[in-house]
Amino acid sequence: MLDERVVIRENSCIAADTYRMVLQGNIAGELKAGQFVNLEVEGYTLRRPISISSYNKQEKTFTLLYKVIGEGTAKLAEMKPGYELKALGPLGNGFPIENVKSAVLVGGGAGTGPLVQTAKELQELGTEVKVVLGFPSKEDVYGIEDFESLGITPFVSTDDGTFGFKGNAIQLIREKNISAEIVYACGPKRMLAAVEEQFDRGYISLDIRMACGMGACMACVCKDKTNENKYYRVCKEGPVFRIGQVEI
Amino acid sequence: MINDRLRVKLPGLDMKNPVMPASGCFGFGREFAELYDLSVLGGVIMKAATEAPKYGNPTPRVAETPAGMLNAIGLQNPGVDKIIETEIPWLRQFDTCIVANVAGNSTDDYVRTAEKISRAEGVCAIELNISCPNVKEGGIAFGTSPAVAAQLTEAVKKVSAVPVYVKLSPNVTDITEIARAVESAGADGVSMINTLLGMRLDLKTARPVIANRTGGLSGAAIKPVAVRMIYQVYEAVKIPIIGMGGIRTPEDVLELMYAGASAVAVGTANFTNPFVCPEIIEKLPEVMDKYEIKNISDAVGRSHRV
Repeated sequence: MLDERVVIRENSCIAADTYRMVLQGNIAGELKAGQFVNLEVEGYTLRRPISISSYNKQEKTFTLLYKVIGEGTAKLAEMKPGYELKALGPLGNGFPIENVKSAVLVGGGAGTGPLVQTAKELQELGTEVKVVLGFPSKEDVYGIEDFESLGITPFVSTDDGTFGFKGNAIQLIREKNISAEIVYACGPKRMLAAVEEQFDRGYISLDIRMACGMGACMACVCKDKTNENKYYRVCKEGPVFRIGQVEI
Repeated sequence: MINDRLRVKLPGLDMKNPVMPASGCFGFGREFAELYDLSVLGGVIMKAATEAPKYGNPTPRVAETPAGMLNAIGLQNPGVDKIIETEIPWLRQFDTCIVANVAGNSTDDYVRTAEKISRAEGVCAIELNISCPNVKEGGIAFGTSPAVAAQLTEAVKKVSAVPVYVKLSPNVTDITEIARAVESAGADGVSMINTLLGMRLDLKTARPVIANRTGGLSGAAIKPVAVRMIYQVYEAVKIPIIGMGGIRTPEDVLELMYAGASAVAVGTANFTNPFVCPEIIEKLPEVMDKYEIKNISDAVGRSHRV
């Protein structure tokens, strides 16, 4: 875990309220798929926890695909290449990359980002990777080219049917009868709950309000599904949990 | 790092510098120890201990506010026995004062928790969190009534093996009244201020942002309130004050000490910058030079002498 000044190399709008930020710093050398960084935004008390989408250890760069959801992320979106900001990371456990024949990666909206590196690493082990992405509408769709550059054509759904399948990612999985040995999912709680109904084996990544991001403040806890006296810190023991492990 | 200019002495606490992380913003130090050596700290105020393990409130538990944040964690902690068994022995490896924060819902559980933890090896003092609801009295916080606060202080003082600092709630009409009451009841010091009760609403859903609906406001926004209250309490009591509320810089440390604090705690700023405590300690002598303060203890109550 490092707290260092990282440099913005790219920060561009890729879909409605959605941005790609490429950062350079030593944190890149320690990253695993599915981990996150906590970014300082000048003038704001709390940092912004944002998942790593992908990284390049040689160039010491890592990429965030993030959505503007409030003042802090709006300020992040205005930052220009060359600007330096503090990043604490790597944080969280990340997606365990299992040696399996086939995997399906399910991303909902802003949950698409962390799946890019996961897809890359699964492919490197020879796993056949399928990707299913769900968005509200056509203007929200992003990430397709990130997967296409890996040779994967994602299945895409939109709630209003303006792009791809009309419906949500889970309905699309059922419609196309998409199956795999294991699932990796990141997205809204509703989607994760549906993923848990559809698949027995795999991992989900939770999104929750955090403060310290490093396990000290107990802001972002969730409960074990079977033992009500057991809890996990999403920032430390998570954000990735086994299917069936925690109450969503 | 030993620099006698920064040394402060309070009951039970002989500190190499006046800076401690505040309770609840630092856990038991394990996460921060991955970033720096906790021995640089004047002390560590541990996360609250309750008699039984406590899960805390539903999430979301935090929300940002202008120059601060709201929290309603709900005192999540593994319980006093586990803290004594695993956390305190681990903290003892560092050369720093350990302060145990104690919370409860009835006088009896406060007393049992305080008695146990005050006898744990390495604990230098207790910080008594009197902002908790008194379950037997319909949930009214202990800290809002001078009589109830005094009765609780007296009961805890009777059993504690170490000095007791009563952590005052700012959510009262006259904080000096409470400070005087706990001083008469035998408190060795007070620590102040706890968070200010606040609330934020989501405009889309019209619901409170925090699941608990209300939360404690902390951060830079509350510093002027802390300065004012410490200033008032310094004039009202003779016991020392541990000051907290919105500290982010060495200048903030001086301001709270000028108001009357003998030592300080840094809370929310640990979330903005996990290195804030060591950075403040390192820069403090330089800022003292600027304001011609030879020893940090000379800064205590300086505003009352001009």
